Amino acid sequence: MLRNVCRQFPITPLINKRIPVRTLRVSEIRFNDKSEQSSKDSFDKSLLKYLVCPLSKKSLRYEEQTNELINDELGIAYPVVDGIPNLIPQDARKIHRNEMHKNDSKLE
Amino acid sequence: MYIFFDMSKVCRLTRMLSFGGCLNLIGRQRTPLLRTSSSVTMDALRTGSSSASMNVFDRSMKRKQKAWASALVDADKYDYLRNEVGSRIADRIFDVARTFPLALEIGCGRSHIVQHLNKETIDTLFLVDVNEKALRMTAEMDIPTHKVLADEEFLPFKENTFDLVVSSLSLHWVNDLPGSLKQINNILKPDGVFIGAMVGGDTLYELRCSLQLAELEREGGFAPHISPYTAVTDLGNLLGLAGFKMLTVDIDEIEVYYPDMFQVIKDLQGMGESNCAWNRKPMLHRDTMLAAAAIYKAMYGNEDGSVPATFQILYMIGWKHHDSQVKPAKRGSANVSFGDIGKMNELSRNKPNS
Repeated sequence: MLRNVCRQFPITPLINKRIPVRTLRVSEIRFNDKSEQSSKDSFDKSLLKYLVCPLSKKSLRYEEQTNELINDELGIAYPVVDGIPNLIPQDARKIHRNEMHKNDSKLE
Repeated sequence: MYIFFDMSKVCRLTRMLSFGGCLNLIGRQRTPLLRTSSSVTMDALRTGSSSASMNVFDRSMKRKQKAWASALVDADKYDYLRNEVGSRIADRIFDVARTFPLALEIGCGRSHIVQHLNKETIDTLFLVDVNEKALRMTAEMDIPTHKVLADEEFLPFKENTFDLVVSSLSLHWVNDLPGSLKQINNILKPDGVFIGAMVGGDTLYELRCSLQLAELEREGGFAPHISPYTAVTDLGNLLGLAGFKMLTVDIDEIEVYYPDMFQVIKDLQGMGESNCAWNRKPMLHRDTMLAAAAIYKAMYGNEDGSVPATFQILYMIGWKHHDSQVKPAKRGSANVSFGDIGKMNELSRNKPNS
């Protein structure tokens, strides 16, 4: 039976072998890894004399432990990634009251 | 295929029969959009500065679009417009015969302006963008640079800090343009200068018209696919309102030729300039797109089959107030009458003879 079929359609066995290999069409968009190789600089503290909080326009404090720029008045922390401060309000983190008090006591 | 040919024929017919009528139709459709844009700026003028009611663009969407575009392998392929405008702005910076100790570029992307500048013009530079990936891919320069990730609407800098602020093709996505200009004026030192460029006026009018015509014809109504732009006439008022002095506003037209409408759209996406208005339509029918492409080719196409896309670039230069700047003379201090102006021309003509 199978042989008959094969005689009728001589190519089918070949196709059967190849079926598992199914190529996916990859779109021409590929992402590059250049951003991964960036140097991991630390935050330059001399920038603090130019930078302010984008919301209250008051000066910021650099917290080395968490690597964040902190606005104590509003209780917001802005992250620093690879030495680049991220001062976009949407990316900022709200600091809990307790944490703030801890920082205050440290300062004192 | 049938639709495609059908549309182009219809278009050619209307074009041949009544070109004037066709133009009128376009004019009528474009007015509502222009009206909304001017009413937005007018509201801003009335309220003075940042008004919460003005929320045209989805800023987080724009950020995503820019991040997507700069993650492309061939991202620099879509930089042609930014590089061109960047070099023209650099040219304007060179016109100011000064060395700027501290400069800031807002919306720098891959540093399209500053790569044309050198140490003789700028001592220290701050690069600001909302897009982290682009900020990391900036060209290496001999100018000492600091990078800061920030939003154009919320600039994180102290008052009276910079001697020069430049911005190229980023302020047209800002919701609160009067507020942003006011912030720029604030961070400038007295006698500091702001040199900027943004798209405006009739940018992409070909794409706007063909999409509207196609949508009207296929779907019986149209949605805004091209965002409302600032008019040149409004820009001077906005700069003045933000506190800038000695304003220069001019307009420049750049026409780019593309193989077809789809390439225009693809390139805009690659530039990270996709539509991000809040009232944007989430989808566009394939049928409408084909019709729009046919209309685009029929109405604006060149003889060699390419289609033009017009970008109108508004350049603005404004100075922060300083007492040493040129001021209008005091009222009544003139010693020549305006009535003599006509005669002065005659006098200067007569002088060589006598």
